[in-house]
Amino acid sequence: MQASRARLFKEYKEVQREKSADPDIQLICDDSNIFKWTALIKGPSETPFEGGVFQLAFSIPEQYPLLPPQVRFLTKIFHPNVHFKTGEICLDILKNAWSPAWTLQSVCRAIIALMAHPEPDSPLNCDSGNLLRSGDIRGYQSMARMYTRLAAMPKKG
Amino acid sequence: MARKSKEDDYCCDADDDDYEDYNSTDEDNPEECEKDYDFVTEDDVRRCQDEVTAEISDRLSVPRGFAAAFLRHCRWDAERLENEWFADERRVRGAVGLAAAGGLDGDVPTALNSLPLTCAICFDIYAPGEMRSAGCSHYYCHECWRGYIRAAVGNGARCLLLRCPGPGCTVPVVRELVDAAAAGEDRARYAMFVVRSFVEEGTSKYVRWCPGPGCTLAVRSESGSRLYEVTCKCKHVFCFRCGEDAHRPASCETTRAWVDKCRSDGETSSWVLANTKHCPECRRAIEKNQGCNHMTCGAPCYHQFCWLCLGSWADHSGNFFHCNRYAAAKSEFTEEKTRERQARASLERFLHYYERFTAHGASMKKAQEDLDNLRADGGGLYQLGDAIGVPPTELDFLLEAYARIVEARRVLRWTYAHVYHLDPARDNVEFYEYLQGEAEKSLERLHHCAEEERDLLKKDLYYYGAAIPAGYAAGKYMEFREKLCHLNLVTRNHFSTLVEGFESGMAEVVS
Repeated sequence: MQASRARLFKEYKEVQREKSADPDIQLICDDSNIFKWTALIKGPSETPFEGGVFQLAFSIPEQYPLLPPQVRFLTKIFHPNVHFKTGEICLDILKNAWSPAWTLQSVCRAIIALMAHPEPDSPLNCDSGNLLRSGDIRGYQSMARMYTRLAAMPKKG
Repeated sequence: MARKSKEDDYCCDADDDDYEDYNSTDEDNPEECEKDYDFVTEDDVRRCQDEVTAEISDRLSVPRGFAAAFLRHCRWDAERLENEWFADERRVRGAVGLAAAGGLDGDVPTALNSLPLTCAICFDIYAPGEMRSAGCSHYYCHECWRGYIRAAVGNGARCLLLRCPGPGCTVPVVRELVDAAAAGEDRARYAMFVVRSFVEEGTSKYVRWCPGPGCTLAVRSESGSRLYEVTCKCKHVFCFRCGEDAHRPASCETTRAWVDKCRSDGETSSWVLANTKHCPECRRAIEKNQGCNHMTCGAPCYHQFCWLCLGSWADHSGNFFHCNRYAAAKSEFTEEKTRERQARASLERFLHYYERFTAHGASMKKAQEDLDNLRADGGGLYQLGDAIGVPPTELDFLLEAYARIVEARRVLRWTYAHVYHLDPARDNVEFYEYLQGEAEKSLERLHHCAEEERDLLKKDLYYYGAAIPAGYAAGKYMEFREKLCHLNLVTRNHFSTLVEGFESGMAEVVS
């Protein structure tokens, strides 16, 4: 408990210090609970998520960093490895490939990389995975772009 | 090294030794030659493993922890490791996550930092000597290593594959590092997983843990033996090859198939097929649980039909119990009917064998209990000895008879699994059943004698009490003893023929 708190506090300070270092990631710690964080990440360019801003919710276990944080998308996203309803993410480093040397920041980076490089063979969103697996790249991209526009972009007018 | 099983436990050698008294003529008792195994404790396994590891460590000039990792990769087969190593060292190293060649100082399983560094897990800064690495350049503080290893050990045997926490770093965390960094109980658990791996993942076909509940012994056989059935010191009897309960004369494959069959819910669907019919309209499965043959299907179908001929009830007006449309309807539903009949027959067949398999299992359990009761301090053996007036040590023949009964019940039950899997077209099922029947008959006689006639004898002697005629008790006792020993011998011969016949696929017996 103490170790996780100390480590999270250090990550917090690091985030404050490097605020402008990675313009694609903005990590925000809950005011009253250091085990709850949210992040805003920008959809990577040249993907159907470009231009969108996606919100992630972090729930951090007491054994952190020995155990990985639980992360899910709060913003709706059409992606093979993200559950369409719950926002749950299927990413190896959040499960058995976790290493305590990862940080919240590096988890965000890994999620951005996952958005650019989906793994359609282990899908949480089968519709999305099937589009990619059947080679319908255009179908996938237009669906993903539509949801980006609907859910991850500020409403116009 | 543990003692030979023969020396120390009654139940291990009840079968062999004393038959000479009863004119045994059987020279090649198959049980005799298959006793070439001994028991090893976890300590023995560890010692053996340590020897192999030390030898490889010397020969390949790598620290022991790495030697163990390489060995584990080759399933603890030292010969295979050496061949692979000298053929392609890089590949073996790569497989466990080590760089192609050791560093300047050779392979180092763990190193301390020489400069102040920040621990990448807790982000604190530590002075030289306060951090460790797995031999790579990623140093972490002692506290973080301890937590990292604790979490891994808590995850089970996978901790043997533990790698450096550095993202993307593949350097293995080996024994030396665990011993240097982990807390006492985690070290112990890690050590336990290492030993288990030697038996469970090893290719050595000659060591196996006893699967008996709570038993920590391993059984080791002499290399090259055809070891089959093992009686552990904990009394658990199991098959050395597959680890299932002992199942002679059925083969391991038959046993697997049988166990699966008994477990599978495939039988449930057979039941559905055999005991239900389908509504001719909506094809739903219907079980008839009332007498009348006028069926009305459930909502939303409501189709009315005759259970006997499956024809529409509208055609049955007036003539309810004499269904004369059977012949006509037959052709219409032949396929379904055939399938139904087949399913019913196959279910019945399975149940025939299953019932007998279970019944002999129950008898075996009961006989084992009786045997334990007889053997217990102040148990049946003493009471009987008192009644007859002989010391209980003279009644060993009774124990032998019971041990035979337990053994024979076990064999018999598995013959049912075996016969179930025979192919009537290819195998001479009748012959198997003949042998089985003969053996079963002899066993029933033996069991009856050991159980009921012993009771009678006891009652008889009890009836006379102190007024027992001189020599009467001794005479009765001798009679009983002779009969039981004779039946025991007969049963033994029947069962050894049975086992031989079944295992050799009947070739010897038929010829």
